[in-house]
Amino acid sequence: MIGIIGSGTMGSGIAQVAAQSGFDVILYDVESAMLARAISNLTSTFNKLVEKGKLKQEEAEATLARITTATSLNDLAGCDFIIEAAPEKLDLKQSLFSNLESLISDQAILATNTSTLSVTQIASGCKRPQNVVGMHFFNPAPLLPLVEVIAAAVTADAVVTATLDLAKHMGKTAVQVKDVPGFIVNRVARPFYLEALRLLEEGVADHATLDKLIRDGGGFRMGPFELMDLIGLDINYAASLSVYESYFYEPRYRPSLAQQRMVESGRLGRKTGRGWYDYNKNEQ
Amino acid sequence: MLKSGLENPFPPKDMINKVLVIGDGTLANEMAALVGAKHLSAETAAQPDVIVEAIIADRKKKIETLQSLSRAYPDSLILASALNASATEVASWLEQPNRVVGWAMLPPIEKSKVVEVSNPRGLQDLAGLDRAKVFFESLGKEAVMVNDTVGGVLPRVVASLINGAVFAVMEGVASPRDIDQAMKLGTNYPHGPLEWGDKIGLDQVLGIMNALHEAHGERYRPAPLLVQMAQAKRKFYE
Repeated sequence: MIGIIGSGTMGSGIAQVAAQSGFDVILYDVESAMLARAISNLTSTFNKLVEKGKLKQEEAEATLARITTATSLNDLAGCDFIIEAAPEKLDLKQSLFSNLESLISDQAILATNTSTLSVTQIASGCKRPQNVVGMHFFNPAPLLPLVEVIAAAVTADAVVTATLDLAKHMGKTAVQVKDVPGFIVNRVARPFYLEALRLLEEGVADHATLDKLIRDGGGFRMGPFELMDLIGLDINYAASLSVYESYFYEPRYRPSLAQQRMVESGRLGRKTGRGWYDYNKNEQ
Repeated sequence: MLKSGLENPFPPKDMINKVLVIGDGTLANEMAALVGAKHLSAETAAQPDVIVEAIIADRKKKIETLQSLSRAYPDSLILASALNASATEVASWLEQPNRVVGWAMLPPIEKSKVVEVSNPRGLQDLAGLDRAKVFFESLGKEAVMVNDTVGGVLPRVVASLINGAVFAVMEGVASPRDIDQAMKLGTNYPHGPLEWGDKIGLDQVLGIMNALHEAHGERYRPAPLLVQMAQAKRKFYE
């Protein structure tokens, strides 16, 4: 039995993946209205999969039936594995984990889906920190094949192995990472954005030319500026700032003033109609 | 004047025909193969129309080679790789700075559609740039003009990605295989940064980082493991 904390996009996505892999799932949230919305979204997702012929009707019904909901943590007492996808607040995650470990068995594993917090710090409030691990899915979880499994300084080897195995059972490719800020992807990807921004600031070329050279010259699917527009400049800037601060102001991760100004101006990318590119041109 | 060649069955306009490719790694090898595949003659004895330079690992050798070639072939256009020196700097080494155009690509170049070109700063004469465009277009690459800078655009971005990934390996964040896997699946990169480093040549990546480090400072400091891998002539995947 897998427990999932948080029924937002990430929590529901993970619930879908787990149920489709044959696990019984309890989806927890503080409000029943949130859970009702999550179940209704999952129902329409499964209906679409049936329409597209990717899932049989009876499979969809059985998968959905494997997901139950809860608004009390007590209902998660029987879970062997709990994946937390609550908002990115350290004290919230710490208090969830210390409440949960008093309910669950000594062997049950507590995994956090955090992308910016230290797993070690989240585990530090627990009596059994060796059972705490990071399990970082990428959004949208049902589509993206990668899971980063983060071994905190205190995580037991057997817990890391069990988490890697669970990710594989869910059909994901799992990679093992030390508990460092940004883990692998959010750390290693930073120069893709930051060097492009630096080249822009130095006046080497405009953003469209830089995108073209990097995308068409390097074989990337998108250039850094169009990708920032897709991600949202505020999200991308916050990720850079968080990694920069977490590494004690390492110069390789220094964020861009040009990007900060864009965020301040409200040009956040596709979601606001304008970022590095203008997406409203046709409507004017 | 450009000399016409005898061997080329499909002479491009402006008759760029004899091309000398000189370098010390994959970029030069791939460029030589591309030039050969386009029926340009890579003959070195005769006066080349174009000298394409990609000496990335060793800047001293780059300076000496370009100085000696520019004296030996006073009429050749010199395409100097921007990966470890700006065109402006290369021009400062030579007696006739208007013969220099900077260029930048990164392996694998076969599928790449574009090439970066740049003029030395302050140069008003664009004849060299026009000839460089004709040459690269004959190879099927669109030449895109950028302001001259050491490391160019793509090599600076990708070498910085690779250098950061090597730091992560050195710090034991994850295995090279897991880092490459994560970047391909998590961000849709065409190659994992470490396998890309192997492909380009770690000595070449180090050459780019050393030049960026000298020009821009600490942010571009090569990972100590990258230095050692290059010194030991090792790859991440043997």
